[in-house]
Amino acid sequence: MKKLVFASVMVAIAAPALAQGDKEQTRLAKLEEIVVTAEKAQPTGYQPDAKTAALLAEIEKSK
Amino acid sequence: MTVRPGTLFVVLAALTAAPVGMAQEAVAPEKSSVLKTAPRMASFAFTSAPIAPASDFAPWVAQDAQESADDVRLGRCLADKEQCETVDLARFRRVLEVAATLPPREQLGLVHHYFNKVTWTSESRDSWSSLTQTAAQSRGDCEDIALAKYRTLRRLGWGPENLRVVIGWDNEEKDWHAWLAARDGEAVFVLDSILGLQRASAYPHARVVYSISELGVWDHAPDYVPPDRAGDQVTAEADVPKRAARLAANGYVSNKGNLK
Repeated sequence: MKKLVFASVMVAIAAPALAQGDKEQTRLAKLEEIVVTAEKAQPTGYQPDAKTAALLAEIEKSK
Repeated sequence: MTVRPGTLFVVLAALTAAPVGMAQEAVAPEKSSVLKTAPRMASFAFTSAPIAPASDFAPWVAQDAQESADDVRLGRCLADKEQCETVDLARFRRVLEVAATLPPREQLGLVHHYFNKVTWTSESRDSWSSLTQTAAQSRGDCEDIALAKYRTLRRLGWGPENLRVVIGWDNEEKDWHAWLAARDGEAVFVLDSILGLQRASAYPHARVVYSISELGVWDHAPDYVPPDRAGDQVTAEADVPKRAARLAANGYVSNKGNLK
């Protein structure tokens, strides 16, 4: 009977943790299903400030 | 009363497993209504606890493996310009050199604008490119660009606790989108491949579903159940200049002055 009680207590302690782990895995699998594959043309972006623009121009010239 | 051990175990297991079963049986509500429960980017915070390590998230694991595999190629290029495989990779090498001389917020601006000029490509498969792939080809889509900015800023010394690749829903375009969130002191910036560099507070049209960094995966909209892939059709405006102009016309301002 002691063994039975011990086993029951262990199950009661461990099972919620296992269930939580399963729940997290299920949730992660659903998030992984979000597919960000929108086909879009060249982005325009916005103009950088003058200093950044100058640095980008210098980088663009480098080879 | 005598209770057989097997019976007790079955009862306990059934009771403790019930929440999982219930979660699986939950019916996914309409995307548009559920996404209203997802937080706006304006309230994005870096402070919550992740729900899982990044190593549990398959797209990240695959990207990280590719990143490691490509490190040798990138390392050769960084050590010797002549070893850079493409002109674009040599330019990226120069970006790192220049950015290393700048203060943090100017690093944000340079890295952001450099990767925003890459050619946007569609993907026949959904995979996240490595920094080397994106930098060498100067091609990618929104999550590739966000990841390239993330990896570049990490190389420049930004801590992972201050960077997050964010996956969310663009309420304007009714489309999934990815961008990078960066924290500098108290300020949170959005580095978006469409709208430019903004403070998060100036980014009201996006809802955050999850975010990821090497420190973990954050579930920002636990009530939202993504639909199956087959039902998740892309409806975005293909003409990005028109799209950006429309967003600007609706009051979503450019990046001018947002770094201050």
